[in-house]
Amino acid sequence: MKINKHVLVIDDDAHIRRVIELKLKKAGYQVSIAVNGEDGMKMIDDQRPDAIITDVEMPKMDGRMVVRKTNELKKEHPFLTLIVSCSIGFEEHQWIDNMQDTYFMEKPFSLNKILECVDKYFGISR
Amino acid sequence: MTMDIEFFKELLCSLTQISPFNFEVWDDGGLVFSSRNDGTDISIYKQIEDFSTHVMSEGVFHHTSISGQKAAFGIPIRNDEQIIGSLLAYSKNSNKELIPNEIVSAKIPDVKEIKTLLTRLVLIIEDKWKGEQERDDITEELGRSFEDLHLYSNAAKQIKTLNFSNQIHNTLVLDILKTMRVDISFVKLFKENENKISFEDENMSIETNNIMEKFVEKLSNIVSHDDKIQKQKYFIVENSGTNRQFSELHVDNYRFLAVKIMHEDKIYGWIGLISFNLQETFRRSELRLLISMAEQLAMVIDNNDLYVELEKFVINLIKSMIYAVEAKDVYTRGHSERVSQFSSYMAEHLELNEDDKKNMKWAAILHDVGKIGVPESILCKEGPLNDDEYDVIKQHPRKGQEMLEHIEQLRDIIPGILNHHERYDGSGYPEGLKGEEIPFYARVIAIADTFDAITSNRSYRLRSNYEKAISIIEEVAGTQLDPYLVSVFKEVYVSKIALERTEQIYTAEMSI
Repeated sequence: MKINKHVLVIDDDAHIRRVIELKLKKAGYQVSIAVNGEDGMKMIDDQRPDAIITDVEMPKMDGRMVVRKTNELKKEHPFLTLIVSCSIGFEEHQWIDNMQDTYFMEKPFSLNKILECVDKYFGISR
Repeated sequence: MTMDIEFFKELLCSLTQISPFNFEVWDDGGLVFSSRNDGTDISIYKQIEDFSTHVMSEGVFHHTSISGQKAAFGIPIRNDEQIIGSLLAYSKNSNKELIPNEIVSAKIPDVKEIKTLLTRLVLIIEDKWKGEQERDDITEELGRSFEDLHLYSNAAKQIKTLNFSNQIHNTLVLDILKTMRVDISFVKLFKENENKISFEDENMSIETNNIMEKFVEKLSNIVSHDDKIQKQKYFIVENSGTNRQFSELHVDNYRFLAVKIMHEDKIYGWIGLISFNLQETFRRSELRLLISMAEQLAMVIDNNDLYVELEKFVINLIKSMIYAVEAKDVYTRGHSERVSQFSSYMAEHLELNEDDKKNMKWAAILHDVGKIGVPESILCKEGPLNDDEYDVIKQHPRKGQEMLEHIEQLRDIIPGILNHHERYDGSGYPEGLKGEEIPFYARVIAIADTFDAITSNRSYRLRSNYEKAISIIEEVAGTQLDPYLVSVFKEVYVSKIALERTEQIYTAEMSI
C-alpha cells in the first residue's frame, strides 16, 4: 500500500530515526529524516510535510522550539506533530495542549502506537 | 525483493561515459535500467532480452555477439542465493560521432577483464543489498525490542496499580495482543468461568467472533486439563498442522503459546497467544516477557486473594460479635443489620466516597457492640429501668469504643460508635456533644437507630408503624437528631425503605 503522505522524523539518535523511518516506510508512507531541530525546520519550510515526529532534547534547536515555531505554520497548512520523549515531566505536558494537532508519546514508545496515531490522523484503516 | 539499483545508476552512467560499453540491468519483467544516453535501440532490444534470459537461466557469466557486430557480456545478479536479474555490458557503436575520439579508439578489453569488472560490480550491488537487508532486519529487531520495553513498562505500571478491576485486566490482554503481533490473546483464570479474550481483527462478524471464542475456549480447556501440559511452565505449538489434537480445533493452521499464571505453588490459570501467521515464530524475548507478566499477574491475584480472605475473616469476626450482642436479647435480633442498612442508604443518597460508605456501614453494624458488656438482667428487663440500671446501659458506647480501639483498621469508625447516643441539643451521652460537634457517622446512626427502635418490638412496648415512626423522628429533629440529616432520611424513607416495606408485606400476603 502506497500512501501519498509525507512524514518527517526529527531525532538526533540514529537508531530511533531508523526504527521509526522503517516502520512508516513499510506501512507505505514517504519518510524524510532530520538530525536536529534546525535541520528539521529547514525541511519543514522546504518540503511542507504532512506530519512530523520529533524528539525533545536535541542539539541545535530542541523539539519544543520546533513545535512552537511550526504551530504558526499550522494555521494555513495544518499537519500532525507527534512528540516522542522520555524527559518530559507531567507538569510540562500543559504547553502541548495549546498546540494544534499535537500529541505526546512517552519513551519507551511503541512503534505500533506511533503508526496507529499517524494512520488515525490521516483516516487510514488497515 | 525488487531490483533497487537507484544507488548504482550514476556509477553505471559514468562507466559508459569513459568506456566503450553500455550497461544494462534486466530482470524477469524486462529492462530495469540502461546507461545508454542515446535512447533505446529497438532493433537489438529483443536480442539483448534473450541474452539476459540466457544468462539468468544458466546462472554464470556469458558473452556473445549481437547481430554479429556488438560484443555483449552478461552476469547474473543474485539476492539471497536467488537469481533475480542480470547485469549486461555491450559495445556502443550506433553513433560514433557522439563519442570522443580517444574512447572510440580504445580497444574492447578482452573477455577475462570484462568478466572481472562485471563480477566485481555485481558483488558490490549484492553486498549493498545484503547490507541494507541486514540493517533493516536489525532495525526491525530493535523496533520489536522497543515494543517489548513499551509493553513491559506499561504492564508494570498497570500491575502496580491493579486492584483487579476487569477494565485493567482487559487492557492488559489487549496490550499483549498489540505488542506480540498475534491475532488472539487470552487470559484464562480457573476461578472465573469466562476467558478474557482480545482479537486483532476488531471488525469480525458476530458469527466469526462466536467461532473464534469457541475455538479459544476449546484450546484453553486442552491446556488447562492436559496432565502433561499442566506440569510445564509454558507450552508451545509452532504449527497446529503437525498435531491432530490441535489441528482439528481450527481449519487454518495456527501457532500457539501459553504461559502458566503461577505464584509459588499456586496455579491460577494461563495466558495464551494465537497467531495464524506461520511465516513468523514466537521469539525468545516474547516468551520471557510473557512469563514475567504471568508471574506478576499471579502475584497480584495472590495478593488479591489474601486480601479478600482477610476481609472475609474480619467480616465474619464482626458478624460473630453482632451475634453475641443479639443473642442476649431476642428483641434486638436483626437490629444492627437494619441500622447498617438504613445508614448505608443514607450514605448512598448523600453520595459519600467509597471509604466513607464503607466506614458508615461498619460503624452502624457495630454501634451496639458494647452491649456485650451489659448484663442480660438489665438488657432484657421487662418494664422501666431504674437510674442505676440505666447508667449501666449508658456505658455501652464507651464499652464499644474500648473493645474496638485495638483494631487499627476500625479506628475511623469508632466515633460513630462512641457518639451514637449524643443528642443534637447536647443533652445526650457519653460526652454531651452538641450539633456539628457530634461526629457525622454518629449523627446518621442516631437517626437509623431511633427509627428502627421505634419500629421494632421492644421488651417494654409493641412496635409503632412506619408512618408514625417518621413523624416521631421529625418531631425530635433539632432537639435529639440533626434536622438536615432527618430530612435526608425522610427522602431515603420514601424512595427506599417504604417501598421495601410494601414489597415485604406483599410477599408475606402472597405466601399465606
